[in-house]
Amino acid sequence: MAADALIALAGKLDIDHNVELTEGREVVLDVADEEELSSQCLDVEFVLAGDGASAGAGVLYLTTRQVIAAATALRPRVVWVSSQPAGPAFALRYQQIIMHAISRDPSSYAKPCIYLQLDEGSEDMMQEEEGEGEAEEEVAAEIRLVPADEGKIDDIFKVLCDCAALNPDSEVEGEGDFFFDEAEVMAGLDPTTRAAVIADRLEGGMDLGGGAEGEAEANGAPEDLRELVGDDPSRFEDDEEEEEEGAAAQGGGAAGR
Amino acid sequence: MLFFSLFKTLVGKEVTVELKNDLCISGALHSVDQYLNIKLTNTRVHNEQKYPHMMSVRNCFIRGSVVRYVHLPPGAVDVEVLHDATRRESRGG
Repeated sequence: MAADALIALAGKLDIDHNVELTEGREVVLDVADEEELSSQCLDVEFVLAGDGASAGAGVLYLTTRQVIAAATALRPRVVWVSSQPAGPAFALRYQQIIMHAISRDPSSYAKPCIYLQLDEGSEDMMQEEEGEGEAEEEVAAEIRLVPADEGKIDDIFKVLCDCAALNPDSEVEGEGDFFFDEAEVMAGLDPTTRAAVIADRLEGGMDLGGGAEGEAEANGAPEDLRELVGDDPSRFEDDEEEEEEGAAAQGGGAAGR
Repeated sequence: MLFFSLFKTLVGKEVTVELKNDLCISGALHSVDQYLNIKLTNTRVHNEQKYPHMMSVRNCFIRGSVVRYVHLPPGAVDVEVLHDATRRESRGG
């Protein structure tokens, strides 16, 4: 496939095609970002979007950092540089590789290769095309890396695993915040356990410094609301037509704070 | 670390991983790490229509952040124990 078409395809898949190369067409590592070369493999074919678009043979670089850093890393990456003198170069961030696998089934692809699936994101990844009126084609977010030497496949797979593990997403890592629906959890309990959980809570099992104050802070609104309403249950009612009543309620509210 | 520990106990068992892009992959749980990256062996893909090229990839590595669900085999997990553990974790205990 022509370089332009390949680059357009790469763009649709959010693949970086402006990869900085040395004069000898080697990858420039971002030393400031602690990017190091983990592995390099010669004569690897890069195939985009399933089996449609081959970019031909090139050199595959797998870069990484040795220490996991907290910040989002634009590098390290999986970089592929075409062997052709003016050929394209592509880079994938590990964060966008949602899955990679070894494919040895000839009915999936003629040669053994590494199959990668890319993150399409929650929003529509399709960029706006200049030529409107054309139907947007669904581009499969798949890449195949086909080394000329089949024996390299296990190595490449392993390095991809290792590097992916060294380059986790910068946001909430691992299990992150523990979200749960209180009502759903309680509903799922058997009656005895549920009663025990409730009893446990009422005894101050929440460990927040104890006492009614702790309970109030934990429960938030109810206690505060009772204080604010005070002796006037209609304090927070909707304003009536008469201005005085509304103003008095607001004045009372302000004094109460 | 609750689920990391849980998944470590399931190594070797057959699980189905559902990704956020709706892909479902079954396989034997080979390994899991602290980011809940999952490695499966002898994988099988369920929704072939969307990814016809994915048939019978043998081993795969799934990035933890893209997992929506991990379907576990019935009886593989002691649900009572898991309930207790998650309740404790949610209380910050």
